[in-house]
Amino acid sequence: MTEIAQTLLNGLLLGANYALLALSYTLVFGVLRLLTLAHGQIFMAAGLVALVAADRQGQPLIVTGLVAIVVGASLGVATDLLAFRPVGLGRPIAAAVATIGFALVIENTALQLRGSSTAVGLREPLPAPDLVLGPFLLSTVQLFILAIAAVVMVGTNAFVDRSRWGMAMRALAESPRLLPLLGIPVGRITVLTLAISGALAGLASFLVALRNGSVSPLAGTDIGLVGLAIMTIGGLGSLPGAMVAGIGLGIVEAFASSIGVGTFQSAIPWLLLVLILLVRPHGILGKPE
Amino acid sequence: MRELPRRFVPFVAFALVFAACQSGGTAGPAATTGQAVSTATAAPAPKAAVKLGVLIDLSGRFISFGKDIRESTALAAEEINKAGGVNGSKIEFVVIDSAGDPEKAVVGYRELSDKGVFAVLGPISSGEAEVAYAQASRLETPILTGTANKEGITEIGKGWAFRDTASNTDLYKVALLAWAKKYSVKTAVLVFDAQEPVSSAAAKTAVPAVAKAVGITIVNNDAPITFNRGQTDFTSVVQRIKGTPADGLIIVTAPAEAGLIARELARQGETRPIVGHPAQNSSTFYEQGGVQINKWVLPSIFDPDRNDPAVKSYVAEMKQRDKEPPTVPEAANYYDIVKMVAKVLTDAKIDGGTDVKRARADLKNGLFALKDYPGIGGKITFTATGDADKTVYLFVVNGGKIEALGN
Repeated sequence: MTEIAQTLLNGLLLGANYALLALSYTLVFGVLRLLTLAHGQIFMAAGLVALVAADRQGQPLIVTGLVAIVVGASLGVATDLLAFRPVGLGRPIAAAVATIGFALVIENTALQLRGSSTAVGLREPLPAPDLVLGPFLLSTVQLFILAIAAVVMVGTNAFVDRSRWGMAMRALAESPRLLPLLGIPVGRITVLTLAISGALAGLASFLVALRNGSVSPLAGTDIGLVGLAIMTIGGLGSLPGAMVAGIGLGIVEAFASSIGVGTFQSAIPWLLLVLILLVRPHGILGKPE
Repeated sequence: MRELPRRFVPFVAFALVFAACQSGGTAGPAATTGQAVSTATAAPAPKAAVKLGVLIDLSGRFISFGKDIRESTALAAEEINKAGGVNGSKIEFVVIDSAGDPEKAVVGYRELSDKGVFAVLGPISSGEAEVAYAQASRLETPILTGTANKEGITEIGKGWAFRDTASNTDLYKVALLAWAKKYSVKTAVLVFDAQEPVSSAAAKTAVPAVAKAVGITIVNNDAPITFNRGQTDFTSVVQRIKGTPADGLIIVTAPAEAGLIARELARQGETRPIVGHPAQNSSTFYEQGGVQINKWVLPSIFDPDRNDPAVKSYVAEMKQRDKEPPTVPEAANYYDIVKMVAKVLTDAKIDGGTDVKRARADLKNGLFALKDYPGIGGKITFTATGDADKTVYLFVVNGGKIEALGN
């Protein structure tokens, strides 16, 4: 029983990161109805730059986190300028393909500049020791990650639901053709959406690095695919769905690893995706079109 | 009209980034186009150059290996050329980027052979070597890897393929024996990356066979603890390790994952001795695991601290040249390969003007005839299958501190 509870806890902590990344995908799809396939590489690049900077400059942790967020946001904006706008927001397939090209540029730039070896930058991120609560071993770093992820998830949701800009984002998602007629700057909303989305990917990368102290230049594709699967499982465009699916996937993966089927870990998101889509074709919390 | 230039901005930016990608690495166009790269800095040599092919990864998963190997081979060639070359001919490299792709490795090997190189150095991974070596007897062009360590790959080359590195079996023979002796290990838990070809090949074949031969029982041979390449959370994996009683742990995985496992083992209070995979002897592992790496034995084919002037000179030179130090240990094998090839060609009175077919045949025969060549990795003699009988060095890492461990 103790082992099951510990695994559940491990899964919850793992899932918090997945949820953040999926949130960044969902934001773009939910608002712009466009699919970005460069988010895995943005996640990687933001973490890589932050860790290399941390390793070379020895800056405080909070600065490293800010670097990751700023790099993520900048690359999010770059996705708009370099991939979406040249092909036009009204051509979703061409736009998605353009983001693949952008992803390749990010990954190859990282490989050429940094090599394929993993960047290690945060060796002792948080000096606090792990907590031992009875039979449970709780990682302080993971609890910190969970807390940050929870705050950011709730904050993002509140921003989209309640702020003026969030309302404009939702309006864009609902009636993309009406907004320009109302004098709402669509271009700025698009940039803002991609900046927030990129910043979330950067934050997720920083939180993973907090735990591992490292990021691989080759990590983008795998993590990007997982993010896509979670977004679809949660329901395309549904922010709460992305959070639920991300945390759910983390828990399933932790249990799979603990019972010895960890080899199939990379297949788990896709198995879950098939199962969920069979039962609920629009995802866990998605709305039928 | 005002929109037009703004719409071009993204394309211009794309082009600039692409240009940066192409020129940012020191690979240069020659690496991808297969043009000859002269390592000489002086005026052109009067004699035709001896051309050697280099088939390595200058992009993709093994780019760090490729970059270091490019530097170590260039260093060897510069030293040879400075000392008069190969019977008066300078050494020139024709470099092709195989990008870790077996298909590209096959095409690259054929292309290099067609360009008239006397030998090909590479490829880096066993996956590439397996398919490229299948072409060796048809192309009749010697091909020498200093990295691919999967069992039996040289046999595919039917006398034309060579390997100047130890196979997994040879590495684990030395490592498991010394580890068992040092820590009185009789039983072990096998843990490996099931997705990474190098790790999984070693863990499924070499490790169980060698463990059995040296008297170590792998308690979970029927159900080894596995995970996947790129995994970043090892909490549950270590939970399972802790729940499996044995004297020690055999952890076969790439350096990044090994470092994360070391951290998680320490976090969960796991203290049993470990034997790792030679690939873990890298800065990534040491940086990632830090002081949390304990009782961790590693085999390697190169000891940078060996008391040999040639080793010291190589290490010092590579420190100057390698833009992302430290250098991967296997780069030393390629340095030795260039030197060995040059020696055999010199002894066979071959220069750049020699008939290619004759040069290749003499080189192949000369490599087999070489006995105890004094390489920086130790003495090298090729067996009948083309495998070098290599010295295996052992290290033990305690609290992140690396020390030599006597065999």
